Amino acid sequence: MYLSLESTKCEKPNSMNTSRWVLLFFWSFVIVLCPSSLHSQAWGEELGARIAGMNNTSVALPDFWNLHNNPAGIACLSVPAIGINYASRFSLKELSTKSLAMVYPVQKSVLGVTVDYFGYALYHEVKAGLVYSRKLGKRLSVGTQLDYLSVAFGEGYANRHRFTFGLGVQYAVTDELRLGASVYNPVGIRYDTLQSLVIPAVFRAGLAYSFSDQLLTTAELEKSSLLGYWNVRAGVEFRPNERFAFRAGTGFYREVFSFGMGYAWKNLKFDIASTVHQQLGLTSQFSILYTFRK
Amino acid sequence: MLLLMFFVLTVRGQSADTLQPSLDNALEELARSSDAVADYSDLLEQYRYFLEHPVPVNGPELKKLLEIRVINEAQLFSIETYIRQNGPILSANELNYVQGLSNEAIARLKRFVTYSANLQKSRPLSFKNLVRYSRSQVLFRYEQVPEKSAGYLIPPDSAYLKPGSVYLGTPQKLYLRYAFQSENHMRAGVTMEKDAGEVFVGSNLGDSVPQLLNKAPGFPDFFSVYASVTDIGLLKKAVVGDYHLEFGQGLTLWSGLAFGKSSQACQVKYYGRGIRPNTSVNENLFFRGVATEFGYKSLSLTAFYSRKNYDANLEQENSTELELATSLQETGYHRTINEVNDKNALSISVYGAHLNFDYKRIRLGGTYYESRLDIPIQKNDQPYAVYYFHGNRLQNAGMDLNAGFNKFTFFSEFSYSSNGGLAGIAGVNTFFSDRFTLTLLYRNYAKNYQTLFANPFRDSGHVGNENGFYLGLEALLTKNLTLSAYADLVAFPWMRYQVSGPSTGKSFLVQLNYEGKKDLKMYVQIRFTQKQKDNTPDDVYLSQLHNERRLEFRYQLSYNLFRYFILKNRLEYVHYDFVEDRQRGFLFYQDIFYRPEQTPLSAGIRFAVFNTEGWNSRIYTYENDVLYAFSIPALYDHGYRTYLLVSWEPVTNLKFWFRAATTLFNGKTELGSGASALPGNHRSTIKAEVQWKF
Repeated sequence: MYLSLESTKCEKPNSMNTSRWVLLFFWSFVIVLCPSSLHSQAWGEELGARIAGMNNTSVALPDFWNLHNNPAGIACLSVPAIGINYASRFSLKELSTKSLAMVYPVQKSVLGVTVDYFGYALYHEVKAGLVYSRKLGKRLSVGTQLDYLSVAFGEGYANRHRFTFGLGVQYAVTDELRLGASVYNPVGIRYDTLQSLVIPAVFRAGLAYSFSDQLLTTAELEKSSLLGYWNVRAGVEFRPNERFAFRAGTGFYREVFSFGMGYAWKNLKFDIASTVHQQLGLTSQFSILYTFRK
Repeated sequence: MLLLMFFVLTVRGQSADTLQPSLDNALEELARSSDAVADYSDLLEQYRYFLEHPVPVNGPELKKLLEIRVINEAQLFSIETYIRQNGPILSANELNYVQGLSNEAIARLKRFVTYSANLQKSRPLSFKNLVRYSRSQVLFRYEQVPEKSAGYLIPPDSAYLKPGSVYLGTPQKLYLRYAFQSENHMRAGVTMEKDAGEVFVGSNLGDSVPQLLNKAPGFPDFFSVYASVTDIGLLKKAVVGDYHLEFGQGLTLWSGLAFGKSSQACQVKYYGRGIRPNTSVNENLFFRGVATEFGYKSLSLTAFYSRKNYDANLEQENSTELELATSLQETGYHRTINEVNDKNALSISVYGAHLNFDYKRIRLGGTYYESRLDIPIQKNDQPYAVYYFHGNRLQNAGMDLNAGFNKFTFFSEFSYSSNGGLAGIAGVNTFFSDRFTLTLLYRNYAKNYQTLFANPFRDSGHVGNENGFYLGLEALLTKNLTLSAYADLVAFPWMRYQVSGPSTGKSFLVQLNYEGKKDLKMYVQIRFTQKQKDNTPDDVYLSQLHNERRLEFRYQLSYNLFRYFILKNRLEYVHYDFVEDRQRGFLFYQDIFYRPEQTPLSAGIRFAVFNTEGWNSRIYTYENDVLYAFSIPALYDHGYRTYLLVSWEPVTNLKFWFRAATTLFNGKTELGSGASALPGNHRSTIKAEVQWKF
């Protein structure tokens, strides 16, 4: 599913039932919500080691971690999957994001759940999201996400809770070319009037083009209300065989360079990636994705 | 303008040698990266050689076209794959069936290859063959700026008053070159040059000047000679005289020029040619001595010794009265008393060896050499230069590795300098799809890495104190349309000249190329560079780093009009931005080439108009020139530039060139400063050249 731009050939969601994965789902959430065990972040920042390797150019791709980036990107997932992601921003433990997410296809739709924890004891943010995505016709996919966000300072010093949402769309022009766009928090919901507690509004638009079965390229424009410019990014993924994937990307601002690799083994996919910020250094991510076979 | 067009029409001429546009581009980038005027013939000699001696497309020599950037590794791989699957390529048309070659690449490649299923073997070495298949050529060039600059206006016998700004010699630039070649076995050549302002034979210097000179200026100012043999038993190559050494990725030892970043975004790997005779007039950029390469099976060993004088500025240390060199000069000019006195001020002996091992697609090399200076270089106490080389001895050692796998090639080099500096470079060229090539490169040169003869891929002029990622891609969107792009992200962990702190930089290029039917070619290029530089306002004592940005848009179009006319236009816009200094620059030019197939005469003309708000928004443009000469002027301020180039080949093997160029500035009464200052508002150049082959 790494490369597949074969969105047009999206298979019918299977209705297999898996009590075992429902259980897994349940238990993982118990673990996640256990105080300070799993963590996360969200606010429109991209997540997922595969797309991080391509410098976060995911908006037009079908990808599991698009749960965070463009909800339309999961409409093509035909089987349930569960994944965890760990991102260490600038290699600082205090700035790490821990995420758990899953998708579950139901009839013609795909449902997703995400939980993220970002920060550490004295400052942390939690995001929990519900994603709904589906295909409209053969080529068009749409999706929406509803997020609960919270931020907490110190030991009870202050905390805020908000709800916000995101919308996304993807369109497969041909089997090789896909377009995508998404907005997050478009109405500018904020925690507080304080500047530092802003939830950014983010807009992304981009394309993905597959040169061959082994080669996928992406390009994306991004505008975030936190940053006063349009960022341009591009990424590439090579998959010399079924198992391995190598990725690289570049961007104009912020993360100017990225690289990563992936390995698929049975139902598991392991991805690792680093993005390079010129002043602040490396941000590394690691994902494990488990896909339930039919 | 009309008159000129008429002239071109009546002359029935055609222009001289044109390069492929991507090379124009690469040369412009080189000119931009260094203020010194270099002799790029060093890089293009091989290019011209293969134009005259195409290689068989089905043979192993096809690889050599990598060195001159006619093809890249992905295209080579595509051609090899095609031949493996379908047998030898027998005609130019068949190239169209090779996957992964754009129209542009095919047009370029056609000029350099022959099609034959049977590969010709080189003739056995014998005296008879040496004589029978030998060829010689003589090339003479005359060049002059007709306007007299300030340096010539004061007579040389008053030069002692201004030892740095009076030219002792005559304003002509003269260049003479003789080359002999017998098949592939033997080559020899002599190159002589006198720059403008340098002393010609019998110049009258008066009485006072010779007393101020350490040594009398000789003629010719520059003299270079070499003789080389190849492939005689175990001896693969030997050069006596002036030569270059090129190994690995240029990180340990690479004496000549090398292309850097350009719109050929996937061509950053170096293809070292080992020993190579020097034919250029880059006076401080080669070795002088002996170099030999022996090969046995997959092993080859190169050993070399060189002792060459270099221009340097000497000073006496007060306490010990020892002579020390403060800096090495690289311009090669010896026009004024000061410059003549700096000439050949110190000598550097270099000796060492390179061992190379080839096994299938793996190539492993090791290089070691020592440089000894007879006069030590003084330590520079400027903070940015504390890690620069000083003293009189330096050893360098390096390992380079090249490995080809199925659909990618890996290249790297690691180097060590005897002061403890380390440097490394590693890259990969991938061609997983025949329509898409990606190159990744990482380099990290420690701030204390020192070398006198290295020229690796890098962003800054100095080798060392740099690390960065480079990512380049070339994509074939359709057969007509290609996209090339690169991103280079670089960090300088230590201070640099006029950068008083650790800094970063980045540069991006995106180019979309279209090559259609009937020689319609065009491209759009966007280029952005950003680097940090000191900003020191008048009222502040501490420098702060600020971003210096340059954004360039270019559109170029060339097409055939009527039968023998080629028209070329370029439109360029530059935006420069550094703190308060914001400048815009604009350039437009029109080229007309006339190239009839049958007549021996050809001509080319350019008319350019430029308007920039200062020197920082200057625009570099490549211009066609006489053989082995280069003109890539930086145009700035407001004015016009025009040139005319005519070449005439009355009989086979005898060819004449004539070129006249002038830049006219609006609203100026003096150009330049110091000795090169010109009264008036125009600066011209006249060149005439003759080449005789026999």
